[in-house]
Amino acid sequence: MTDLKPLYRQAVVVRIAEIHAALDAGEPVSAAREQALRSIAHSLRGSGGTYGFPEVSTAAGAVEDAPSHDVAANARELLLVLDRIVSGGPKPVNVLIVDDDPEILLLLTTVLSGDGRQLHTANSGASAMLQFDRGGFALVVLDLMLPDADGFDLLERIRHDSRYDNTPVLVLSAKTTAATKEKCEKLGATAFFEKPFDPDAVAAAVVAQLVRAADIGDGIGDDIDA
Amino acid sequence: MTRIALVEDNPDNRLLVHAILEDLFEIDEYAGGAEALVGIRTHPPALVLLDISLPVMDGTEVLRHLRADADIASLPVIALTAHAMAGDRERYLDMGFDAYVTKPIVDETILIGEINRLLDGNRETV
Repeated sequence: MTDLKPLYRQAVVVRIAEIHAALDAGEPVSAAREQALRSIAHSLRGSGGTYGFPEVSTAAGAVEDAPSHDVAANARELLLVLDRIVSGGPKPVNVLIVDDDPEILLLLTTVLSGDGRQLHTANSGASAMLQFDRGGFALVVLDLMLPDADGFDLLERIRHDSRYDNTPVLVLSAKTTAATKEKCEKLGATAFFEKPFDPDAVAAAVVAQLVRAADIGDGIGDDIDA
Repeated sequence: MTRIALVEDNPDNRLLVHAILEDLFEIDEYAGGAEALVGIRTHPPALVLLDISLPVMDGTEVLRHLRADADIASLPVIALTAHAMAGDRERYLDMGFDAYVTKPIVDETILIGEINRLLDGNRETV
């Protein structure tokens, strides 16, 4: 897979110059310059999400939809977001969440989303395998019961991949027998959460494990290749 | 080189699709639905990539015009959309799109795969 983000950085440099041109002529912003800012924002709103920068779409939307008196302030906020993209910023940490229940995926992506974290989801064993193969995950949250795969096999597969030697794997399971937990531990799971689980406890464990992994220096900011 | 049409109003998004496909296809770029319909009728491509959220005439309307014109009605058309809601795929396929690719386009192999699948399908039925 080609990294298309540098291409967007080039495009963003042009948009930054356009926003500066509209803002730097002083305030209050004239109607024509306000229209220009909304137009640039409209374009960025449409392109940010396409290139995988949803934060650009959000910040650009706040300019496009702003009442007149907020357009300039929101455009300056947008510039900050764009500047971070151009400078590259810290690489996000890739987290993979594997669960076949869409409601649990939604819950987990909600509680685990945060600055510097790029969340990926897999709703089947096959999808999880494909994503493991790409590499680059700093942490995996794994449901044991998947329709097309045994979570133990997936866990084993992660542990047999040298790229994931030190990648924390948090297991979620409705199977809560001592034997299950023991097997997970033996296969190299980092933590075990019984379903139904406390989302905040899982989120706290994810953050703690990522901080720990960052200290070790593994898997953080690795690129995901195809 | 096989020629495909790209209908997308956002210049940065055209840049992205162009960068992904330029080595594989000749690309006719259109920024709006009306100009695309004129261009596609004049120089029919082998396939159309059609953004849904176009100003003035949105992608679904462009598709209706394409399907209503016997000369170009059978062109394979892929919907490009940021709307990734459950059931969207079926909705777009029901409308008459041949395939549906959601943004973000971070994995270009999905887009290329869909294009090749449709082009190959067409070759087999010719």
